[in-house]
Amino acid sequence: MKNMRKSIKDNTSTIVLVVLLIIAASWGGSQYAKAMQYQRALDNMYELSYYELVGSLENIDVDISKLVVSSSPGDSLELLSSISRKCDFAASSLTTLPVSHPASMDTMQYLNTLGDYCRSLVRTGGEHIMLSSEDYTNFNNFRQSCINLRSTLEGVNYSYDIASNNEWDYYQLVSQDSYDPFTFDQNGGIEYPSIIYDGPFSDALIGATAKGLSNSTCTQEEALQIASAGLNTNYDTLFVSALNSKNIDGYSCSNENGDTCFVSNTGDIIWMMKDAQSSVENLSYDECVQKAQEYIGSMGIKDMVDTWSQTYNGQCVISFAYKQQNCLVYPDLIKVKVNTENGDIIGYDALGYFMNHTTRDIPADVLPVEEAQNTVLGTLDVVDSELCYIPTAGGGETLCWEFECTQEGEQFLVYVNALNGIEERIYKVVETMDGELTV
Amino acid sequence: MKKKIILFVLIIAIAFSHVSATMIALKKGDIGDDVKKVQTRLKQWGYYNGAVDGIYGSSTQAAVKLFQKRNGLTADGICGSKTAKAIGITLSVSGGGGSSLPSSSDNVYLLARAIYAEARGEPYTGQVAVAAVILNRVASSQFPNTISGVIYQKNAFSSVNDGQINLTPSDTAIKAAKDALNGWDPCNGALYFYNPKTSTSQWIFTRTVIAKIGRHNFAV
Repeated sequence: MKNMRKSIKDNTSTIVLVVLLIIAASWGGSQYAKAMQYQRALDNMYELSYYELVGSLENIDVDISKLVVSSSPGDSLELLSSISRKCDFAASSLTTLPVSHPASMDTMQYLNTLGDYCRSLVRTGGEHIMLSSEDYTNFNNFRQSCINLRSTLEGVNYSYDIASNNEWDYYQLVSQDSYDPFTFDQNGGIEYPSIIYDGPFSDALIGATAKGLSNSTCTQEEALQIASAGLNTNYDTLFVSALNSKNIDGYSCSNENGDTCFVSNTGDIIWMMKDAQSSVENLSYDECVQKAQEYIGSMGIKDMVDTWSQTYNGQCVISFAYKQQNCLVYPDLIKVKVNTENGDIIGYDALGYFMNHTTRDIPADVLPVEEAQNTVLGTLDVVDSELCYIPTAGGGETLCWEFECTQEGEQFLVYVNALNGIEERIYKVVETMDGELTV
Repeated sequence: MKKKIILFVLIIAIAFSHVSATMIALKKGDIGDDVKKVQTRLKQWGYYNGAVDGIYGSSTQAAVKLFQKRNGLTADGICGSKTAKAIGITLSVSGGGGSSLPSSSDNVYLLARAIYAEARGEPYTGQVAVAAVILNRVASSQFPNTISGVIYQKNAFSSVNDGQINLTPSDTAIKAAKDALNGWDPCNGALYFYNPKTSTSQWIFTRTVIAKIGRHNFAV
């Protein structure tokens, strides 16, 4: 009787074990199948991006080759637009590939620069587009890079053919920073020229110099004093380090809280930022503007008018633009952040002002406002207008008439070139919870 | 034995059941799909003539007040459960109570998540600087041209690899994101940042350091 009980007990535990084993095995199997399914889905997405990238490069190559032999402005315009579109598409395909930045930066730069360059030619040339001999040289160089890039990329495809290799090799291949299918061979002489045009990736922007700095020089000691006044903190709490930034060299002065003030070698405060907790809005907008104006005045900067503002997390950010006579100069921009609880200045950014500020030579033959307004679409109601300089993508500026317009409850800013009457830009004004924004 | 099993099942059931959440009220400063629902209804009935943009601004508040007044509710401009019922919509539930966070698909919010994941222990300026690096990358030709493209680029941020990017950002991180989008750049144009004590990438040490804030080096 005892033995029988024991054997039943043994059998039961064996059965339980077997059942558990089966459950574990089938669970493991289903997990594995699921993992494979995810893996395949991911691989397929990468494959898609890869083929789209290679396909775009093929099309770019063809389009450039047509462009350099085209003699009609209409065709050129269409080809340039097509190249820029394909560059954008190729760049976005490259973004989705599992390739890290060091490996992809050269290709990314190639695609962005080429696309941007084409866009700027379309924008400036319009229907009467004429490519210069320099443009032809550039495009021939761009094409050579494109051909080389394609041949390396096609080599990659061959080596990670998923059908014959397992996935692991594939990931190893693309995850190694040292393996650079997308990097131009630095020694192989594939260099595209440094090109200067009116676009955000133009090489002109890299070498831009600050126009608005004062003529004095300032020692480290003086920089600390200027920073302590700018931050409104004790001189002794600050430590300083020399800082060579992209366009302006100077001293970075900060305290333990991380409150920082950047003073240029010429003794100008370029920017300042403080941490401050506040959630109460004691000050009205006008009071904030007044506090900000006092601060700007204390820097020795004059003729700044408030343009836009945003209020969030107990702080009011106000943008000021320089005003010369009756002309607003948007590139000369200063932003000031005011604590709405106590009126403290907790942020200041005058980089735009110091990079761009000069006294403008406003042309006398500006179009009368009524004439410029003819360009604005008739269905828009013009509420206000003002003469202004607006920045262009490549770091330049254009003199425009700004028209504040409304249509069916939506607000727009239309900029019409004040010399030739061509519409330069449209901004839409959107109301957000923080304030008005232009997009 | 049976009792034990029942107890076990109960524990499991409790562990997996969702924590009951409370109904929230919509008020000025809120944004999201619920606000859109309110705006849509009020617009259909002629109380509201602004845009259905999901932002509970002054015009939405005024419309809610008017609706409340005409329907015998307390005219406080806050869309609570009673007002929502009268409007004929159900508000989503949330465990966190009323908040005025940017919508989760917003660029501000994505940037704030990256700041929180990468630099939450850093001084405020250091947090803005991390956001500025991301925006400098968007503006650089060598990087993807969108905030999401830059953040999700392969191996760009360790917090994306380990999932910390999905943590809910603090108010400070959101403020830092907005400051960076407003143009503040405490790293003076840097494209890279790293913690020299913990970084494992050899490549990153070849870049020129132009600023040091908190524990991070900022480089071009």
